[in-house]
Amino acid sequence: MTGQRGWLSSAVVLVGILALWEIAERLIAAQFPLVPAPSAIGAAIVRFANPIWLNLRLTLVEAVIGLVSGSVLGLALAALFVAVPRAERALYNLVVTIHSIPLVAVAPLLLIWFGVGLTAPTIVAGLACFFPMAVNATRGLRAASASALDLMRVLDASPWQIFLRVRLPASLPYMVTALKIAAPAAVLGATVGEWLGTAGVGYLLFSAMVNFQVELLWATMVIATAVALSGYLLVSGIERRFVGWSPAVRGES
Amino acid sequence: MLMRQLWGLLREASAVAGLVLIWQLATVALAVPVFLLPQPVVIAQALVSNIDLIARALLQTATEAGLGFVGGNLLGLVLAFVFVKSDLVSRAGLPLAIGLRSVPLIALTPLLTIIFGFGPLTIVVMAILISFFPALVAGITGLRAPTPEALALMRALNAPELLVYRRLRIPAALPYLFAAFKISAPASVLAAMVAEWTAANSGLGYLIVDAGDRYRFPLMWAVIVSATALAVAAFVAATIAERRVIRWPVESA
Repeated sequence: MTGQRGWLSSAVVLVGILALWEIAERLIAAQFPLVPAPSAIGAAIVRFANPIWLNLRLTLVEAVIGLVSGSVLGLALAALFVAVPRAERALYNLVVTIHSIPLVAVAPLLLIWFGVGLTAPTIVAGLACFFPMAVNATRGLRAASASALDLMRVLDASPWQIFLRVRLPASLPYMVTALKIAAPAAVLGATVGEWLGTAGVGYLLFSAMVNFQVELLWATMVIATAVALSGYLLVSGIERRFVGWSPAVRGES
Repeated sequence: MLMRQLWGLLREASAVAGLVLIWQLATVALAVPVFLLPQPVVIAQALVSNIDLIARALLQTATEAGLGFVGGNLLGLVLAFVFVKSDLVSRAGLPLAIGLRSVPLIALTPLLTIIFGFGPLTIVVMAILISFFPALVAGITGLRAPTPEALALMRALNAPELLVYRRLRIPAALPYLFAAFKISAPASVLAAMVAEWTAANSGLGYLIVDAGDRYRFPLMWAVIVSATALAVAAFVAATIAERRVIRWPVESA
């Protein structure tokens, strides 16, 4: 209820900002050629729809593959950590160390390893999703209530059943939180991975900058932002629809 | 206590050393080509022989990231105060701020480069943007964290507004702020490095790409190691500061 009104007032503010921006542009027209009016950006989106869509397609493919594979691997690592505590003690610091390698530093390296193409951006996107998922899923799998675990043990449930029936449901809210981070991060990772490449939204941004195509740059930027944002909103929608029962969801946001 | 910490540190150091040893042996035994994975010894040599170059780049990136971190946090916290003071601003602005947080900021770099020009300004602005949103969100949640009972008590005791902030709201916000610092301190290093790709011909971010372009792979790895060290150092500094400042038990968020 309050959330909806919040969104409404946000939309009003957003529209207000855009209107002010547009008026300011009209009044001191062409003073700032680097910041086009919203209407000009809108027109540019229509005009450049074709190149933007062609490149966006690639980025979306990379981001989705990266999101799925990164999240699945992250969950697998979390399951390993929870099933074999020794593995966590041995690997946790290694994982944290790898996580702290800046993605920006990895992207040029991946480009050298895999060459120009879809692979390097996909891996960057996957890495961006892997760590939030691994960390949150580990916490989530641990969040199962002790009494539920005891009950399952008393009922002679197999470890697999315990995982499936108790731990996995308990970790769902945590995993959705991770996905809320991962979905925009996948788009971002793919984009950064494409910077040094020859196709995709990242490449388009980069080449628009180098060639000083200001309107193309803004148009691509707006579309990329909208895509990342809709990834976030999609996961938020899923969250509200499917894991609304969890106090972790209601308490957290 | 101290002994245990030392022991833990020793164990972690030996784990890292073991990993490096395996890496060294594997690269020699399998004759891994240098462009795939240089030997640690070769990387160390590159680090030592280019120490001037790397140190200068490190200092530059650290300065830019540090300036951005401070600026972004100041801006974010000031805005957080405004949000908490004014219900109207917060109702309109908070969903907007949360939405903006998921904008792929790093992908903005080409745009910022065109607007703020080729040079340190763009890099600092990027680092400011990266630190701004965590500070804003943490500031708002944290300043609102005191329970209604505690706030009511302050009101009943006729405490002036300033005292409420000093004794109640700010201490309550500190854990949230440090959680944000731990994210944004390494992130500002990352942001500065990304911006150096497009807006500089010096600094760690530039050096990685440049070394790769010149096929100087050991140097590239040496810079990656230095960049990782810088990001880790930023995180560790935030963690140490947190432990020094917050000396009361806190439910981890």
